[in-house]
Amino acid sequence: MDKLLRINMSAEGGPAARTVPAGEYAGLGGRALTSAVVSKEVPPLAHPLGEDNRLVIAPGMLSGTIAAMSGRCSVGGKSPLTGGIKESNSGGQASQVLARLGYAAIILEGRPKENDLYKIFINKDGVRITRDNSLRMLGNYALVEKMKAEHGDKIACVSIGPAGEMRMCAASVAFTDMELRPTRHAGRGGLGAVMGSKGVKVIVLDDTGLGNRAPKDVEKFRAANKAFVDGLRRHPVTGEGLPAFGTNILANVINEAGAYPTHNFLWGRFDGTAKISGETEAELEKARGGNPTHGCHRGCVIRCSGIYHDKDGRYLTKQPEYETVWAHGANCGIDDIDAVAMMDRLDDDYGLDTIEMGATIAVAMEAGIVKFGDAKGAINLLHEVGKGTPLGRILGNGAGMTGRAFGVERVPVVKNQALPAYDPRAIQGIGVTYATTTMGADHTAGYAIATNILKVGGYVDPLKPEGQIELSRNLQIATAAIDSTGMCLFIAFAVMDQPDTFQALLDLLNAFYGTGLTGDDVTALGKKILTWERDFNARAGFTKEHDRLPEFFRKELLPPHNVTFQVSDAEMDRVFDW
Amino acid sequence: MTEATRSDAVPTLGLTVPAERVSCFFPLLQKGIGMRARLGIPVSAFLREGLGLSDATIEARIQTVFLDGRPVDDIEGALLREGSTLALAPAMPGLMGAMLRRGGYYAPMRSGITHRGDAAPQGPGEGLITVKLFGTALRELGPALLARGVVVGGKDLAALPGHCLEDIGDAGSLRGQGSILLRVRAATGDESRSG
Repeated sequence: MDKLLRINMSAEGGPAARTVPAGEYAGLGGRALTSAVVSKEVPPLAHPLGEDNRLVIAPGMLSGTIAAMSGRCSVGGKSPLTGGIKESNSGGQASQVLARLGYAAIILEGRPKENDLYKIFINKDGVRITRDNSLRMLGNYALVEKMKAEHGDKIACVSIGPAGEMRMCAASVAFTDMELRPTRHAGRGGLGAVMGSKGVKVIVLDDTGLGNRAPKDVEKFRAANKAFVDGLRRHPVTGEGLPAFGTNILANVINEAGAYPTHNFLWGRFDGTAKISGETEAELEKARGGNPTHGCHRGCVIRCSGIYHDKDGRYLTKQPEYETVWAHGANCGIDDIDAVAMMDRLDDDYGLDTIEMGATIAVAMEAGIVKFGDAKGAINLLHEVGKGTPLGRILGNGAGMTGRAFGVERVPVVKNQALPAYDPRAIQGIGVTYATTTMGADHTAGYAIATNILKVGGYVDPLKPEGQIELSRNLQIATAAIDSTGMCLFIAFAVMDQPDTFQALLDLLNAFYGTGLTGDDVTALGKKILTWERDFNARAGFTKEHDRLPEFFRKELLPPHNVTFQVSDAEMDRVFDW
Repeated sequence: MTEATRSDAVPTLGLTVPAERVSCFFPLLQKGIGMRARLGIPVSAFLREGLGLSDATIEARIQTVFLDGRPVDDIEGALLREGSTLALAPAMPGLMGAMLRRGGYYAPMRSGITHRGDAAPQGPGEGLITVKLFGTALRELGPALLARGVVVGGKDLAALPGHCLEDIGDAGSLRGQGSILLRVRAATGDESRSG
């Protein structure tokens, strides 16, 4: 992983690929690499869909090795949804394959002169770029089937659906899973639209003939990986809860806390939660011959994903995740898990971010386009998006656009990106992260490792009100660093609770690269990434006034606790004081 | 196998079902079932006396506790009242899971809704509380609770998938019932074989 693949889509005579040394980006991976490239190479005022934007696809620092959980792939660029820097990451097979091919990143530059679509095929022998307009407006599922027919089933695909081709701000970048299905997505921020603007429909990766990346110290690396896996397996979250029920195990507890946004963030509880919970999903999947315990990439030992079958026992989609079930379920007043699963399938096929689309449909419901609870109506709205009708074009550009088009005041966005599945009035600390992260409302921005292990920013007195600011800051620093390793976020809880598992993670990095990283170095990396990102956003025109939640969170009481968001603007402005 | 009786308080419905079908009734436990409990006692005492859990099990397996929708940090200081709703879960994933965990490092991030304990404890006596089980607590505690008997709404019972209620002659009639004391027992090997 010491080279970059730069593909100039606007080169004379057609797209041209060149392989160059990683140079100043050497040693970076995942989010560190995507944010470094975007902050250094993209003019901050460039149009996100213009030739000056870049789309950077970067495996993590440990991807392509035998390290467990190392299959996250970062996608970065200037976001057409937020107008700021964006990193969105995904599971699936591509990260491992791309890393084994030796690339630290693929960087798409420029823009085709004509309105053509391209397929990029990469294997150990090189890169082949083919114009292929027969792929136009194919859904991700049909597209991957076509790639399988052309290239066999030992490939991994990175692709866009019709939403990306139509350059919608809710468009995702899809990654195939172990079964070669396009079920994993870098969903947030509309990076699928950036890929569409580059004219790239699909990147096909084939690592046939290549082995895993070799660590500097094989024995230490193996030992660290064993300790890491042991730690994940013995922790109740990573070893039991997530494998048994998936991420949607959270639905019941967030609902119980009164923090489960319902009916477009009107209430904090949904009466139908038990019908769409992870526990119910898991039972249903088992009864129908699906599988509630399944990894999204090889080397996953948590296996929080799953396979969802329809009423007739046929594959419909992967197990819908917590955020998806909330977005298309409770937030829209829908308690039909089969309808939610169908919307998950449609999002994956059209290439859409499930969080953005669920939030958007709820705003449309608020506007009266369809009624809350109308599952069939919600599915029809997704088809409008997939077909690109005038209504679909509005919806496909997200909750902010839909709110403006239909005059809705309660629009849950920060930096124009829809809030995920936790109401910041009930859980004030998450509101700080939603408001201040460089990414727009993003629950994963502050999601990783306990500050008391990393000792990021020193000791925080949890009893002081300002503790929320410190915790949010420290979590954002830690997350930025972890997003660079290629590790799945769900390692966080074993790492947080078990210092030996955190040490095993550091040992993995050190044994692989022959380095002597400490927790302080991880902290420094996280700060560096956030500094690049905030600098880019500042140059793109963002100010502290953009680090705010929508007004209604301060004005409208959220039942059942009847609370509003209370953290002051002055406190939030301190998040990045370090 | 069905057994229907009527006590002074609520009608009783006893079911003996194949072991693999006990989980059919878990949605009721997620939504909340009624249980008799001593009033005025701490949550910890109910977990020990009412549910029969050891201190070690409570410590290791019940890491997320809500009383009346508020996350509880101190299970010795949170007291049960008539009509209380107590929700029990293991450690949960995600930052939110860490925030909601009792006594967790991230508890300040949800301080606005934290359960603050009771200044004026309720006097002695027995009353009805609602208990909810989530995650692995469903599988670990659910079957024993169902076997002992739980109070559920007839409408909620009738809303279960059809195959869960195939032992009940007229499951539709449950919809019109108020509360029902439901007992669900897993069939023994002999009972299963005898069909």
